[in-house]
Amino acid sequence: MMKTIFIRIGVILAMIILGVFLFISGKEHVIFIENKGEKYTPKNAYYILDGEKEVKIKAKKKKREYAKGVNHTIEIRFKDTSGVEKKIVKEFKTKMGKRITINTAMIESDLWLKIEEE
Amino acid sequence: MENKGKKILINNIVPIVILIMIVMAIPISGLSRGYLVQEMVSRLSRNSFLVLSLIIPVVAGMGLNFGIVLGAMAGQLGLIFITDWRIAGMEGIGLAILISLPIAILLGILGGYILNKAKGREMITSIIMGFFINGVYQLVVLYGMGNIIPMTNKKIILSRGYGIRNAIDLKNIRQVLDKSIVLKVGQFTVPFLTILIVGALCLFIVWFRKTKLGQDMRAIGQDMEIAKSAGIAVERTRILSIVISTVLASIGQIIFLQNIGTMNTYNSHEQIGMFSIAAILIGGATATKASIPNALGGIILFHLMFVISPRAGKELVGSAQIGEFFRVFISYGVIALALVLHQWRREQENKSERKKIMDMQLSGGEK
Repeated sequence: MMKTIFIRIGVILAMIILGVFLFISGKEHVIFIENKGEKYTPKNAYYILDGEKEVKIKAKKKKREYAKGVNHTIEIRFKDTSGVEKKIVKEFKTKMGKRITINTAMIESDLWLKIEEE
Repeated sequence: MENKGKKILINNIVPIVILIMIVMAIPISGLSRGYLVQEMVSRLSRNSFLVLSLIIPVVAGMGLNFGIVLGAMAGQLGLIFITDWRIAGMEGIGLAILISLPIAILLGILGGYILNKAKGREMITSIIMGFFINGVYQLVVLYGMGNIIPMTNKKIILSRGYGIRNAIDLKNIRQVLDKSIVLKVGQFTVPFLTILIVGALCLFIVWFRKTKLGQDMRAIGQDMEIAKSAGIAVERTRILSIVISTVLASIGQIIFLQNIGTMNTYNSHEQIGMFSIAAILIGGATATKASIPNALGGIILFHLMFVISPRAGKELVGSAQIGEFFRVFISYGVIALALVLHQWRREQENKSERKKIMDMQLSGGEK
């Protein structure tokens, strides 16, 4: 009798743990991507979020993207002040209840990622 | 020999009649063979899980479980929650199944308990039970969600602030299972993972029928009183058969809706009960006998009918709307036809049984 109860409790616990894992790894987060620098803003920037298709973002524009899970990568391609094309890959994490904004124009500075309360 | 042929004909009268109708309707519809094969592959993967969930209650002698709509409702609740929480991909499917499992188990226990109180009238009771639980489901979804149960996704909430919209876009999980492993066979695309899951369920059913519980169910299906006197816990086993069926139906509904990609919150579950039962009956199953070939063959025949009939109706009378009515007429008419033919077959069997007994008595009397 006790064995059956323990097995049932074990199954329920395993299901809850699996549920939490699926929730965290499957949760879609909103990520804003903007192209607006303080000193310099490229005319066009291109980004690839988590290996999806490349998206173009014009100067002073903001786009909304959805990304699943916690760990993400973004690949940004743009022309710098001297007209040389640059490609930069950054990794970042998303958190529940936080709004993430990535600024492609400031990708080379420390201010490329902004995390705010939702 | 003649008797054997007659018996085969009587046993397979439903699929034979439908097959004749299909063979006659295909040229009228004008649909190509390639299109029909692709449609059948897609519909077989989409509907098999739901139809297969009907087999176990039949084995346990509980007839066709119209109560699979209870499982479907549980599956839909899981889908509503994952859409609200924005869980995408395989994780979304997995979490929807996890959420629906306890609900399906509880509904299955409730359904099994009620059906135990209505022995011999399980089919009609399960239909009415479906209507009753549908009312509870509507109350929860239409008034509870957003009021008592917190909802955050404004896209699925009605503009008044509570209640779920009539149609939910399941874009986060649309065809996730179907497109994860796709096989190309000639010009046809085969959703391999979904078919693999259906295959696993078929193996489970085959294995389950050989287990102690499966044998108990079969014994109960043959004769409840003898099973009881043999020491089988009849009521508990019957409840278990309904629980298994309801749980499988909840998973089946999730597989079905991920393929469709949109959920009709207040209607999707009602439709599947009727269509799944129509499919298994067309496959040659009866209220007392159902097998995996019945389920799979029935899906092919029923859905061929489903695809062909609107086009055939349109070609015959020249109106798409009439074709649509024709499709509904065929779906419900087929259930009626299958049940009438089932009754006729039973009477034929009884008649031949009586004749056999009379012949035996007569030959015994002559001696």
